[in-house]
Amino acid sequence: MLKQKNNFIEDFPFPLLKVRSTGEIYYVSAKFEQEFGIFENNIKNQIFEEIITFPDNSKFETNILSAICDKESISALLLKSKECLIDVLLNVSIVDNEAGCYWLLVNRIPSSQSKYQPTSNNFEQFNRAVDGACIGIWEYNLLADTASFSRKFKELVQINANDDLTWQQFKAMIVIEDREVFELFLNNHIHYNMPLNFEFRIIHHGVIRWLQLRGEVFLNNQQEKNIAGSITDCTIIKQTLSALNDAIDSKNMTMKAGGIGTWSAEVNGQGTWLWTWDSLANGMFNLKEEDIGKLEKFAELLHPEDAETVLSSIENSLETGKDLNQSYRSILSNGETKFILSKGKVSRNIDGKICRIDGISIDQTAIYDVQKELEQLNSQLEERVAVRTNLLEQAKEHAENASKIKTDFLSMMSHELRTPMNGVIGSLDLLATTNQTFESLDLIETAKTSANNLVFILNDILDVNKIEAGKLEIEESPFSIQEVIDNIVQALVPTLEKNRLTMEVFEDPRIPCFVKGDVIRVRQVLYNIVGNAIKFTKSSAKKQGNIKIIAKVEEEQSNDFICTVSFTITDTGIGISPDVQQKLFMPFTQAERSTTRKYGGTGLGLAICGKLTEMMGGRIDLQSELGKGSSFSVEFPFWKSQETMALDVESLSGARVALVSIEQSKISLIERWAEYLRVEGADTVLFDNTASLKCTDKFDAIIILIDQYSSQKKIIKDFYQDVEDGSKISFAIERSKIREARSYLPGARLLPIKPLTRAQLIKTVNHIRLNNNTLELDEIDLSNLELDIESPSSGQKKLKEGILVVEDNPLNQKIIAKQMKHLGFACDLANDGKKGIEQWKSKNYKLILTDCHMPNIDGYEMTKSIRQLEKSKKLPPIPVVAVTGAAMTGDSKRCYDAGMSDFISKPVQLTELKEVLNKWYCNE
Amino acid sequence: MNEIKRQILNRSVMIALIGDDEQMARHFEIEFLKQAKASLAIIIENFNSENYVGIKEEAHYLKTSASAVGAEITANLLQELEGIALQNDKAKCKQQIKSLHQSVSQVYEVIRNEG
Repeated sequence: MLKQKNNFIEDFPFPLLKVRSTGEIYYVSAKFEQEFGIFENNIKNQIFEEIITFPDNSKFETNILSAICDKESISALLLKSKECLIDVLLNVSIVDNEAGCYWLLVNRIPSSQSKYQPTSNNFEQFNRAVDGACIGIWEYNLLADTASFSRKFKELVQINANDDLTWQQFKAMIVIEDREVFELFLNNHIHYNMPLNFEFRIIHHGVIRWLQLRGEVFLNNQQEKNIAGSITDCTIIKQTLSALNDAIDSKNMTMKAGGIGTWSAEVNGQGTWLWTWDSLANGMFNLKEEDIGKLEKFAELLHPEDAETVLSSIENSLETGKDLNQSYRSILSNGETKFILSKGKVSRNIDGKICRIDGISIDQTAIYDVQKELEQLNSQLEERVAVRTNLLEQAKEHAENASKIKTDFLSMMSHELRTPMNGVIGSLDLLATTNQTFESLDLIETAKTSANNLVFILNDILDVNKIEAGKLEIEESPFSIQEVIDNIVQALVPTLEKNRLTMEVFEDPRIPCFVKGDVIRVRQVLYNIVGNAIKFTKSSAKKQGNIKIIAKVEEEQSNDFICTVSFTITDTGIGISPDVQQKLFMPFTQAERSTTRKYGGTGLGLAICGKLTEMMGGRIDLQSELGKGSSFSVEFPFWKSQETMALDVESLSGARVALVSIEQSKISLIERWAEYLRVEGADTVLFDNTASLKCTDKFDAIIILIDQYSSQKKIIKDFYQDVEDGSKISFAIERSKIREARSYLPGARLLPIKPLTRAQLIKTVNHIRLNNNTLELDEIDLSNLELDIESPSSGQKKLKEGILVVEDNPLNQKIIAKQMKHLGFACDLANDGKKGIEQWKSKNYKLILTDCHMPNIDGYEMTKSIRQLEKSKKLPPIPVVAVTGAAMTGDSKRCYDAGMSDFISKPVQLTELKEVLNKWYCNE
Repeated sequence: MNEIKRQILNRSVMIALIGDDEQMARHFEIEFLKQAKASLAIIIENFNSENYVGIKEEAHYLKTSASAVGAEITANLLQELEGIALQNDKAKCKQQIKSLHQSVSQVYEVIRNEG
């Protein structure tokens, strides 16, 4: 019924209650029922306070009056049931026409805004929430000195939840440095109500943990002071904060060190830019603290020349959003000029409008100062460099001129020296072409070699020049290594003998006869090294100076195209100390100056050797011991080619050679000689004594090694005298004994050894072979004889003509002509039968005197031809008289058979000639 | 000695050929020596190259000159050499040529000493 009466209220969209001033509820709107699920039947006539409570437990009347007077809403709790409290907001108004009655508009407060959440068990929920938030709860009774700690509290302080924990025990956990501070905080809070918010450390298993304790004093039911609060773990926050602080400190220090200040500006609601900067930036411009944020203060300090540009840039950045990047100068209050670089980045707000700029300013004054200083230094340096360059250019020009002068001088000098040397060499060359004995030729060759080698030394000087100028070229052409070795040895033999040194030469039989390379340079290097070995080696009564040359093929560095040959020259000379060995291959360096004085030399040789060897792809090594001797080893790679192989002809092909060694210990030496000869195609037989060499006819050459001349010479002499043909024997005797042997064995062919080269041995055998087949005789010198004298021709009677003398021998011609003249006849001469026929045709002769044996057409043929021509032309036969030297039987018949008329024998006597002329000359 | 001299150089031959003209005889003798020197070189060259026909021809050529001037020993050696050359006997050839060389040298000595 109420509802029917109050239809407009039923339609009221909000929950309504009607309450009498006594608090009795006598109407509940349908909306109320719907909203809260509380029906009119259940609460009608109940006292309002039975379903509504106020937070401060105040009375209904009080709140009603307050709500009506203040026209404010009242918060309350609507009790739906024991377990369900609903937060509501009450609005009160007086019911019209019903005094003492109030309308209560009851609105639900959303739970998020509600102070009183409807829950069935508030405390448990609260506990769960607190635990979930990792908040520990504690309470301490100051009077009883007792404390209670939640499970989470214990967990946070790292003790078991079931363990007891007293307040003192808790305090003991705190790190001692923090404990005292904690007491202070606690006391301050208790006595002075200062907030209890304390961070402290505990150490658990060596790990530091930070905890934050909060709390508040309150009076419990017994009016005792208690403190209750929370504890949370702030380790991570602390660590983060610490790291952040460190980063900030580091950044600040970096900025300070780098002279970098930060600044920013933000636009406010009025569109005004509000500036600020840090103390570093402030200090940069020498501004006061109160100047921070005052842009005009900054602008005042700008250099007049830069002010407009800087301010325009800032303005541009703020308007366009473009980054700021501006260098400028500021003149500080103290007059100092600073060079600043400012960079800024503009930010935009959510609407895309420029709202902020953040930037840095860098003090670049120091850099500018340094830069200025550098520019000055640079300028000075450039000046100095220019001066120095100029000086160097002059020095270079001077040096180049000096070098050119030196080169020209050296070229001129070498020409002046080489010209007469070439004369010597040329003369020796010409001398070699004349008939000489083998030994003479040998001596000429030695002289020529020495002269050539002297020229080579002159060339050394030029070579150093060329090498230094990079103008020396290495040639490549076929040459014989054996010839080079022989050439060097023969050239140096006189020096060896003079210095009473011995030399041994060992040549690898595998060394090809011809290889491709620069023969001049190879000879130059080897000659230099061997020459040095001889120069620095002496013989004494105690010790025989010896030089050894070993030439061998280095198999490991050789292949089908390259043959690497090493030459090791060892001497028993003065040796070289290790420190000197290092600089020996440098130009103009001998071992010591005393060495130069004592031994002479230019100091160029080894430097050139080193360079040339290097240029030819070889290498040179030295081993030496002071006082004992030295060993130089030079290695050259040589090309092998079709050309060199084609030249590699066996020069002793088919030769049969016997090699005899009287001394058993020297068999190995002749075995090596045999190897040399076999490579040249010879057949060799070795004998260990002359007695076993029974038949010398079987051999083309015999080489007999006499190692101990003094004791063996008698054996040799006896052998030589017994042998039938001594011309094929050569006695290999130590060089020092050759002279003695020559007189002891006159006419014997002697082959000097120590040294003996492979080439010499082969030449000797070749010569023996050729000597048996060739003749060489001295020319007869006719220079002492007077030249022919012509006999006077005055007063002679007229001579009869018409005689032709055909004779090829000029002497015989003259004799016959003389005889003819004596007898009163003149004659024409023809050198042979052919000429004879031509002259017979050309003239009307009366008589022909002809020799029979002549070149081209002899006398017989000529006569036959004349006879045939006479027959064909029907001419009368001309008398033809043979003047022949042949006195053999049958010659006269042959003369007559040829058509000759008569013959006489040479030499033709005057009387005989007179008879022939009288008989056959027809004087018409 | 005189007999040997005569055989080395028989002057009567020259007299018989051209009369008693000493100057002319000397002239022909010197001419012979020049010819002999050249011929010897050719003979030796032919020997060295084993040209026996060449040896014979040259020996024959020189023989007439030797006979003409009275170098009897030389002429005889040349005659012998012709025969040896025909036999192709190298060793004998060699020896003969050496002897020939020696005899020509002797003719030279005679002419030089009596010049």
